[in-house]
Amino acid sequence: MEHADARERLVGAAADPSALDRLAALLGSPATTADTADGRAVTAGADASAGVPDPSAPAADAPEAADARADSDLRAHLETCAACRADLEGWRATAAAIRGALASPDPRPDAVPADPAALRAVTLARVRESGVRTDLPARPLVTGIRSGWASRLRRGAFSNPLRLAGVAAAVVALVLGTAVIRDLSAERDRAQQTARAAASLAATVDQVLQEPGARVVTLHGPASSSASGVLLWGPSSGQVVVMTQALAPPPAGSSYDCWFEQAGRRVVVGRMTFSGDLAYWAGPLDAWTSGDPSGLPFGVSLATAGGSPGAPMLVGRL
Amino acid sequence: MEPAGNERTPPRVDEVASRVDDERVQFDRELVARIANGDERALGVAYDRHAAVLYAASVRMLADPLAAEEVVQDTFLALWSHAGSFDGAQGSLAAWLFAIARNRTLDHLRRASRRPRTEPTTAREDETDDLLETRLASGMPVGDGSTATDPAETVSRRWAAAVVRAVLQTMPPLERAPLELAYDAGLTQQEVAVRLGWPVGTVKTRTRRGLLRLRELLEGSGALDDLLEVQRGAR
Repeated sequence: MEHADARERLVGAAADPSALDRLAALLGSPATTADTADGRAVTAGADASAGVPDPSAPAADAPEAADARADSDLRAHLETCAACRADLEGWRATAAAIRGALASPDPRPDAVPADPAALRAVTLARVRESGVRTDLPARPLVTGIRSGWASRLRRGAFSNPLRLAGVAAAVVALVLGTAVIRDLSAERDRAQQTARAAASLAATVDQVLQEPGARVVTLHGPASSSASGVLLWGPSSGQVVVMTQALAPPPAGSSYDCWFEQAGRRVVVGRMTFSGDLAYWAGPLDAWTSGDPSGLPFGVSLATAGGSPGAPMLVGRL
Repeated sequence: MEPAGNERTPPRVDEVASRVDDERVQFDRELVARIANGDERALGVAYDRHAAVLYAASVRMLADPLAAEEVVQDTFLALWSHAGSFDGAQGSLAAWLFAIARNRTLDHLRRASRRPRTEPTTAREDETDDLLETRLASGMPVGDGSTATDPAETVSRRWAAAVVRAVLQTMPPLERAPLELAYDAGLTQQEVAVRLGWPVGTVKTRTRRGLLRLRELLEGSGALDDLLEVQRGAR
C-alpha cells in the first residue's frame, strides 16, 4: 500500500472514531481516552464494539471482504512506516479533541461578539493607527487625577448611597465625553467599544452600591503622588470594583495587578482593564479571603508578565 | 430523499464545496500577499473571513468577551505587521491566525490566572465548565495542584476543545451533522447515512471534509502538538 492510499484510509478510519482506537490497538499502541475540556475522562471507545466493524473480522460479502483486505494492507503498511504511524497518532489526537469537545455541553454555543461591526471597525482602526503611533511620547506611569469625582469620594462627598449611585452614570459620561471631544472618525469605533465596557462597568457599580452596607474606599497613591482611585465593595456579594483615572496604560508586557494582603501574604486577585482614560477591575473578593476582609490592605501595583507585583501605585483598606 | 446506503457519485454540491475549499486557500494566500504590500482592504476581507471563528475559540477559552475581542484585534494587528512571514506551504492562513490567537489567548489566561500559591483552590467535580471558566477569567484559582491533571495539559485540552467547538459552530450544517452523529452519538457511517437519509458516499465525503478541516486547524495552530505531547506523556 502506498503512503497516499494509507493516509486516505486513515481519514476514512477517523470517520468511525472507535475504529482508530481499534487500529492502534492492533498495532500495539495503548488505548487512549478522550478527556473533556476540563479534564474529565470520557469513555472513548467504550462502545467500540457497538456497530463498528472489526477490521480484522472475516467479511461475509464482497464489499466487506474488500474492506477487510484494505485494512489488512493498511496494518501491514503501518507496521513498517513511521510517518503513517505518526499520521495515525495525529488522527487519534484529533478524534480525542472532537470527542472531548462534544462530551460536555458547549458553554457558549453562540459565541459571537456583542457588536461585530464595531469590533471590525476597532480592529481596522488599530491597524491604521499602528503605522503612526511609534513617535508618540511615552506617558508617565502616574499622573494627577483628571476629574473631581474621585477626590470628592475621598472627601466623603458621596457618603449617601443615593448620591453614590451617580458614580455609574458619571463613569459612562466621562468616558463617552472623552471620545466625543476627540471626534475623529477612527476614534468613533473605539468609542463604541469603550461605551459598551463603560455600560457594563456602570451596571456592576450600580449593583454593588445597591447592596446593604456597600462601602466606598479611597485608594491613595504614593506620598509623592496625587494619584487616587476608588474601591467599591459589596459585602453581601463579595463583589469589588476598583476604578481610577490616575494610571497610564502599562508598558508592553506589564499589567496593573489588584491585590490584598492577609496574614502576611499578598494575594493577586485581578488585573486592571483600560477603557479610555479609565482603568478598572471588577471581580469577587470573598472567594479569596478567609474571614471578614474588613480592614485588609488592598492595592494596585505594576507587574511585568510572569513577575510579582511591584511597589503599590494605589493602596487603601477595605 | 435519496435511499441510504446507496453508493454513487457524490452530488454536485460536494464537488463544488471541495473546489471552493481549494479556492479559499489560494484566495487567502493572495490576500496575505496583498496585506504584506499594505493593502488595508485585503486585511478587511481577511478579517471578514476569519475573525468570527477566532473570536469564538478565544471567548470559549477566556470566558471574557472583552478579552476575546482584544485577542481578535491583536491577531489581525499581527497579521498586518507580519504578513510577509506567512508561508502558505506550511499551512493555511486560518491555521496561522489560530496559532497567533492561541498565543494571545494564553497570554491573557496567564495574566488573568496569576494566583497565590497557598490559597485553597480545590475545584469540585460538580462545578460546571461555566463556573470554572468564570473562575479562570476572573483570576481565581481552579486547582490546587493536588489533582493528577497537569495545568498545561488542561490548558491544551481546553484550547483544542475551544477550537473544535468554534470550527463546528462556523461549519456548514451539512458537514457538521455527520461529524456530530459519528462522534457524539457514536454512529457508524452506515448508521449516519440512514439517520440523515444520505448515501453513504455523501456521508463519507462530508465527514472527510470536516475532519480534514479540523485536523488542519488543530495542527496549524499548534494544538495538535500539545495534544500529542499529552498523549505521549500519558503512556
